[in-house]
Amino acid sequence: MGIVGYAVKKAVEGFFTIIAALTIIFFLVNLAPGNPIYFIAGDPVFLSPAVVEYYTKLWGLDKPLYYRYFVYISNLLRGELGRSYRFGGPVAQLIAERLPLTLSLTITSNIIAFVVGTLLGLLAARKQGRSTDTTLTVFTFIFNSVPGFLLGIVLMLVFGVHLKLFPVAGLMDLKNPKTGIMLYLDIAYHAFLPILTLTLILIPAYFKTVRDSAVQQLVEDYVTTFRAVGLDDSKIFRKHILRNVILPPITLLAVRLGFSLAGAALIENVFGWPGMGRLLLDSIRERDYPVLMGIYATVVTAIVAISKVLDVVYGVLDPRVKTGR
Amino acid sequence: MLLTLGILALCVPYMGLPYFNSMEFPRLAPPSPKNVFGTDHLGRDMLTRVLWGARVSLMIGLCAAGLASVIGIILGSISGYFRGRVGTVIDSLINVFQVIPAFFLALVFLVVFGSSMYLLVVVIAVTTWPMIARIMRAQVMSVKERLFVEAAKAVGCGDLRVLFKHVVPHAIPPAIAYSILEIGAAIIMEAGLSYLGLGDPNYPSWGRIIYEGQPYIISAPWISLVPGAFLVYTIVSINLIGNGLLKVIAPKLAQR
Repeated sequence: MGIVGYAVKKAVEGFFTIIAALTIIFFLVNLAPGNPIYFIAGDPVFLSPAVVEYYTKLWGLDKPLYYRYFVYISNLLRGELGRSYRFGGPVAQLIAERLPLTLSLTITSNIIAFVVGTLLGLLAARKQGRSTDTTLTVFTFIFNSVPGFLLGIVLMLVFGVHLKLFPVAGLMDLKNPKTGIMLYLDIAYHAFLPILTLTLILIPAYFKTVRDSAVQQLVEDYVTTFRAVGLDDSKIFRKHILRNVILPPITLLAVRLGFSLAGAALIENVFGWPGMGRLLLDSIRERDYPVLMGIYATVVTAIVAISKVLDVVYGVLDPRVKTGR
Repeated sequence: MLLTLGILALCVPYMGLPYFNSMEFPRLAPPSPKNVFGTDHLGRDMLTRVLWGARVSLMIGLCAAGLASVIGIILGSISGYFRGRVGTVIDSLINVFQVIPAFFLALVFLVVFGSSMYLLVVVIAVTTWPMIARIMRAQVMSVKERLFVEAAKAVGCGDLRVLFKHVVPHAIPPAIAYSILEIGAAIIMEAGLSYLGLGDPNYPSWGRIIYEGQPYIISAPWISLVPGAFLVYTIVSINLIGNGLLKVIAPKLAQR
């Protein structure tokens, strides 16, 4: 099978995966007990039937389920995410407003975690069995077991409340608003703690992957040969081992980026960061189903797209992958 | 480590501590000899609540992980053994669940159907089984090529008998080790969901207590920090056990 055929196959697979994932959520949400109108407008006792009827018509809730399902899917295929129950505005616009804020957190922290985790992993492998290695392993193990939101709370208490080094929550300083370049610096200042939290939570995975594969590389023949020839360790690590261990953490980075669209929700909640996660939680609380499903569709599409692109890239890099297992 | 906690959790009802919802103490009192971990905003003793929380969190973790492994092991074995149409269907199910962020799906589930302890267990299990199913499938696929399986077939054993009597016992150990890690993951997930206020409001789980302590985080940080410390302690010990087991049973998987 040629690489084009393979890519097409993966794309088709991805397409159906997305549709299946969307179908699950559609029926979950639409079979839910309770009319969303009552959640948003209040008790039916106080609503005039005309209002209820108007919104039922407007949101298409009077149509049968299968009809709504096909409308939903076909709208999505055209990139139309519908309108928010709460704000009335298009969902796509809401998401577009919040997305950059979330991405600025997750991309930054993932990249920092990738770099730091990889370097620490290499360092640990180099000092394998010694105290540096043990300390790093223990620390990452512990951070791996700490729920992100808890770490966030602790960091907020330490740096925000007691040391007063960083703002506790929010996106910017509302008391004395800044303009121009200072505004961006202010946002970055507020983003510090959420990014730190996310980074600390993400490092262990990168560290472990890199350390374990580097340790495996150390016993390979080529390392022994280089050592015998008299190459010093730091050069072996920089030039040769790094190349051999860098692929798995890159894969991890790509996968994580997909998931991180939604994954930061808890931490955004701790720090009051108005990103996608907050939008998601708010829309869940307010039963704003179109927004909920819009975010869901965005996230799932991103994850599937990234994983399928990775599959194809691997297919190009390593033809054995294509023929399978 | 974990054992002491487990025993404590089992014994709480008989230890003569104040009832976990009784509000007989001063509000937001800091830790003192009378209330070792202080009290919360309703004047409830934190020591009792945290220990009851251990009960709730551990139980949800155990049940959810147990249910997830049962689903995962059964579906994984079937899809690994029958590579035909059934296998494909289960495979694609696993794939679909793998692209849905589990936490996201669990959130929606709880919001849509309301929250209770049983539902939490089911929701966590339903969203986390694919991991175990994948491991089980890979294991079954490799075990079923072995000679003794062919022997069993030659003697005339039916497919299901071969699968569950001969293949599964050989394939199951790594899945079990993963199930133990899964307990930790389930506890974290429960804590996260409860932290968002989606837990069972009637019982104090650790996540729930942290959530309730959040508004007082500056004036009374112990409300959130004490259960948080217990949470981390528990998960670290569960992960240690799980990883240790994994290293013994399946060194190859542990290295990933």
